[in-house]
Parts: sequence; structure tokens; C-alpha cells
Amino acid sequence: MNSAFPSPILLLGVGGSGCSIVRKVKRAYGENIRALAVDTDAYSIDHDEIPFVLLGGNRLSGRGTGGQPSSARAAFQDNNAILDPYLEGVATVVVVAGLGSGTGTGATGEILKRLHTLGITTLLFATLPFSFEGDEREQTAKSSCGPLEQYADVSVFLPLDSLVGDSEAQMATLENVLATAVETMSSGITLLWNLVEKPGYINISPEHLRQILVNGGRARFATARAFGSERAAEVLKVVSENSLLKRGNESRKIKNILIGILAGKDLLLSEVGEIASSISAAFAPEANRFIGTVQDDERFAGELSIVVMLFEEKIMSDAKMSQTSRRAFGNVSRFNDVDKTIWNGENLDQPTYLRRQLTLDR
Amino acid sequence: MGTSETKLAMAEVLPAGGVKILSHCKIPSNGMRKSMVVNMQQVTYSLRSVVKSTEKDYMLQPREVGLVVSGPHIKCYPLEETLAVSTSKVSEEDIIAIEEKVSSVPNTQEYEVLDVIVSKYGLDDLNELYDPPKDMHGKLLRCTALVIQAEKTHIKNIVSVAEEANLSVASIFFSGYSASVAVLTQQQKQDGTLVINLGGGTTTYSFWYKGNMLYTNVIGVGGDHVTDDISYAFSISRTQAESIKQEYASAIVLNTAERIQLKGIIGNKNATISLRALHTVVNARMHELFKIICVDLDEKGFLHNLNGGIILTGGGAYLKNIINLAETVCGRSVQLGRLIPEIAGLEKVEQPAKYASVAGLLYQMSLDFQPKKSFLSRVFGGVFKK
Repeated sequence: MNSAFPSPILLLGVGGSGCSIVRKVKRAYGENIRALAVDTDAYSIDHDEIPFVLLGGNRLSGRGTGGQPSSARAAFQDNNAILDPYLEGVATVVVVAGLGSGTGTGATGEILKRLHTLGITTLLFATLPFSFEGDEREQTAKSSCGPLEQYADVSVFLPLDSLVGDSEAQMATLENVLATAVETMSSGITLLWNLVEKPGYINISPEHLRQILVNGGRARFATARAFGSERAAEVLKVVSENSLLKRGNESRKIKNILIGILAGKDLLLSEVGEIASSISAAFAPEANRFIGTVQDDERFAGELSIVVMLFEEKIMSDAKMSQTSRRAFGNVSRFNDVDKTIWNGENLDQPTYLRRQLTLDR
Repeated sequence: MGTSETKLAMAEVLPAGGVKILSHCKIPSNGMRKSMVVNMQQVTYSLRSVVKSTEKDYMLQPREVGLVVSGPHIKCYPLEETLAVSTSKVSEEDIIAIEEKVSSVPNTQEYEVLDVIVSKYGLDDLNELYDPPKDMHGKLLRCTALVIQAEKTHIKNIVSVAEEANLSVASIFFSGYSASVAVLTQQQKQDGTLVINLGGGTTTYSFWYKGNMLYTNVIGVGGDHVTDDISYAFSISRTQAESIKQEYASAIVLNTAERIQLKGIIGNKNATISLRALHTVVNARMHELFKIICVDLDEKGFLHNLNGGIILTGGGAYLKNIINLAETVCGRSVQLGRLIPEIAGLEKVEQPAKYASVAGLLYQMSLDFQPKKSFLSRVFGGVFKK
């Protein structure tokens, strides 16, 4: 990456689990990655790795929220421009957070809201708590999903239960289960990062990703990895059985499919073709398909990894419109004393005729 | 305490069931935005004034009140519980036990549970049983309920306002539910009917099917937005925009070249605006609102069961041509809400559908005075648990 033009895509971890996933991605990706960790707990500062922002310095004295989302929300509101210095030249932010506890649940919404006002496109990866963590956490997490979806352009909700295979969960210790979940998440995001940041023969650039994201809605996300001569068939089998790709709103059509194929120089054209057509056929034959490949012998020699994202259709999706309206009519609203009413990325507090660009008889 | 009007009504419970509304007063609200309190003093003042006029006009003194609440902070989600049937067939005790289980949703740190409404049952491989499967053979009983929750801070604010006005709060009900019970017949509750309450600050819609409310949602868009759009489009004050809206607005764009004389403009006494332009502004807003509702219902999988039509309540239901517009956008028959016969006393009032939430609240509260049914009441909660 040319340092004169820093990457337009930023990886942002919020709260304890968000930060730890982002750190894992940074370690796995290895090179300079544009990333930022945000927490209310000074304990999670790690000087060697990525820039860290402590929220609510005065309010919480770096001791965390004690599981209170409202404290985290207030902490960000105290200074909602605190992240702005890190956002120069950023067009897309990938936000990673764990829902159910204080900072991840409370601050994420506020951060997304801020990014939204700045006109930055956002992709949210949020984990939902393990079922063994209890009802209270589940409720807290569930009740925060709606507001988060309002402000994120695209959101992916991943129940931690589904990130750990059944057989693994039976045998594993608590520590292992947590580690496996974090590992699965971070390796998925690392693959995504490789896909958009590394040039390939068929390229998906950060701007491609942003274009898909501005359509908004919910997305489903899965990855798979295999070796050997049958590797294409194997990854397809894993992906087609992945519960994460099947869940979601049945009535909503899949509008876009993003497929990333990451392999060594030995990637075969037939493998690309087989993967692309099988995934389309399995999930949504009529959806737009975006394919990217990365060939890197150092990293992926002999292996074949794929990243699949299915983007659910957003109805009334006039992405360009919502982008322009967001910027051009930023100050028209007179409902500034309460939260904006956002629907599919549009601020409904602004007059509809303006957003639809209707001309009035004068 | 609505965004545009604060209403206070008192009723007596009729021995044969139902209520007779004895007093109804309303005054314009201040200090509310999108059905939420933004200025405690102003809202308290509005409430005190409406209490005073009730005392003066009707010689009635309200002491204990029920509140209707709404706001975009209110969310609903379905919740399923399961229970192993105690003997080989489902007993009354099993049904009571599972209903109790499903109704004991805990409040979270931020959210208060307003209502838990049982919507359907399941027994082993049977799904979508809309009546309790009593005496049926099976092993695993399931019960699905709709949980309605509201952000605690907003509820606390509105309760504080009532307390400031020396009223003690007996119950809190969600406006989507109250407005529905005021206008829906038993048949309509069965058929798949949508009630859209077009309020000043928010729009609440509730879908009923097989006797129960299965879904509800609040959008932070209401009559205020229409006023604001007009005010912005023609660069006039909100007061002027409001009076133009009342007098000339139409939800459908009529083919006319007529112009409206603006009153009270400083300087230019002959300022006019195009009626067609006014209609365009209002139509764009209301069209969008109905579209959002239909899309949401479709996404949630309820639209195909919406065969009993749509009923409009709230102040927005009296916007000219709103019924035609709703029919065009939603493709269903639409009618203005009429209070059910069990609610008497508002026959002579103008625009009764504006009173749907408050009348429904009184009717719901009156049910507490009725003898209990054999099963647990199908609506739990409702009463504010402090």
C-alpha cells in the first residue's frame, strides 16, 4: 500500500471482543493494515499493535462500563468527534463488535451514527452472545440489533454459537470455544481484507466493496478453506452446508453475491468457474455476482480459500439518492432534538419531495 | 400525551361490559417530539391544563390515570417458549404454565417490557395453532408471544410528567394496541387487518390475524413532518404551514391551477402558493409512509395475510384523500376507524378516530373490572412495573 495514499478502508474494533478480533486480523494479515481499536476499558490498550482510542476518559476513568450499554453510549456522546482524526480519507469502515455486553452494544450504535453523518459507508460485523451466556445478554444484544441496522449500511449478525461447530462445542473447554469463535471471525475478516486490498487478476477493490455496500440491507457471511485436488468441491460443500448463509429473511431476495477466491499461483480457471457458478446456483441464480481473486503463493500456496457474502435485497434501494440526500440536505431537518428517523439509509426527517428531487410548481 | 394534542378522557364501566365516556378534553401539546418528552415543563403544563379543563367543564377530578405511550423507541419481537406436557394430553395447567413462562420476560437494563401478547401455540409437529390446544395429545407444547418493549428513560419521563401533574399512574399501554382494540371488531381481528394510527409525531401500525396482534411497529414520522415539509417548501412559519395543511392539503395531487393566498405574511400581502405544489409535497410524504409500511409487512411475511383491509386512526386519518392514497399504495381496501359499540359516549364528537388510542385505553382498563376468564387473560403486562 502506497503510504502517500492511505487505504480508504478502515477496520474498527469496538469493545473487548471487537478489539481482540481486530488485533487477530492485524496479526494474521501481517502487513500494515489500517485499523483502530476503541474501548472504554484501558486494560485493552496494547501499545505494540494498532492505534487505540479510550472512550469516556472522564466519565469511566478507563475502567469499562460494567456491562452497561448506556454508559458506553454516554461515553461516546461526551465527545462524538473523538474518532474523526483517524478517518481522514476513509470512505468505508468495517466495524467489528460483540453484542450483549457494555461497550460493544452501547458505543457501536453511536459510532455508526457518527460515521453515517460524516457520509462514510459502513459494514458492521456483530457477534451475538453464546446461548450459555444467559437471557439477559441475549436480550440486550437482540434489542440493540434494530438500532444498529438503522445506521449501518450493511450489517452481518453472527451468533457465536454458529461460529463453533457442534462437535467442537461438545468437547471444548470454555476458553477454547471463545478462541475458536474469535478465530473464525478474524480469519473471515482477514480473507475479506486480502480480497479488497491485494490486487488480483479479477479485482475487487475497496471502492467495489463500497459500491455494493451503499445498496444497504443485511448480509450473510461465510468462509471455507481446503487443500488438494478436490479442494474446489470441498469448499463448495462446506459453504453450501454453512448455516450462516441459510439463515436470514426468507422473503427477502439475495440481490448481490460477493465471492472472493484466494489461492496460490496454481489456481485453475476451471476452479474459479466451478465455484462461481455453483454458489450462484445454490443461493440466488438471478443475483448480481461480484467475483474477486487473489493469488499469493506466500500466503495461500496449495490452498484454496473462499469468502462468500450474500447481500439481501433492500427495497426502495436508491443508493445514489440516499448518498446525495445524506450530504446535500444534511441540515434541512428540524427534528434535531430527537434521534433522526432513518429508513434504509435515508433520513426521513428531511422532506420527501427534496429527497425524491421533485420539482414544485412555483 | 401526543405530539400534537394532549387528551384526557374519563369513562364509567358499564355493568353489561364496555365503557361510556363521560368527559373528553384536548389541548394542543408542547414539548413532545416523535411521541417523546423533550421538554418536561411544557408537557407538564399541557397536562395540568387539560386536567383543569376536565375539572371545570365536567366537574370530574382525575386522580389515577392510564397512559398511552408510543415512540420509535418501542420495539416488538416474537418470543417462543416450550414446555414438556405433564401428562399424555395438554391440561389447563400446562397452558397456564406455558403462558406464565412466556409472559415472564425480564426487563433489561435499558428496556421495559410493556406487553406480552400470546399469538399462537404449537404442539409437537403442529404449528400455528391459534387457540390453546387443550386436551390434545402431545409431548412438547410451544407458545409464541409478541413482546413489546420500550426504552426505560422515555417511559420514566412520561410517568414523571404525570406525577408532576399530581396524577398517579395506574397503567401504561402501547398506543398501537389501544388504537386497535378501539376500532377492530372480533371479525376484523380474525381476518388479517392492519390498523395504522397516523399520529402527530409518529405512525404506529399493528397487524392482527386469527384474533391476536402478531406484529407492530412505530415509525418516527407523523403529521409534524407534513407540516415541516410544507413550511420548508414554501418558506413559511410552522404555524402558517399547519393552518394551510388543515385547510388545503390533499394526499393525492389534484389537477388544478388554483393558488392559495397566504395569510399573515409580513410585507407581501399578495403572496400565493400553488395548490398543486402543496399537494405534491404532502403526497410525496404520505406515499412514502404507506410504502414503508407495506414493504415492512411484506418483509416480515404478513402482507399476504392482510385480507381484512386497513383501518386508519389518529389525526392523519382526516387528511383529504388519504384513504384513496392508502388504497392505491397498499392495494387493499382502506377505511376510517369507527369506535366499536362497546365504547359509547363519543358519538357526537368531531373526528372520533382521533380518540381511538385514548378510547381503547379506557376500554382495556375496563376489562380489569370484568370477571376473569378461565384461562389467563391473553394480554399480560400492560401495568407498569416500577
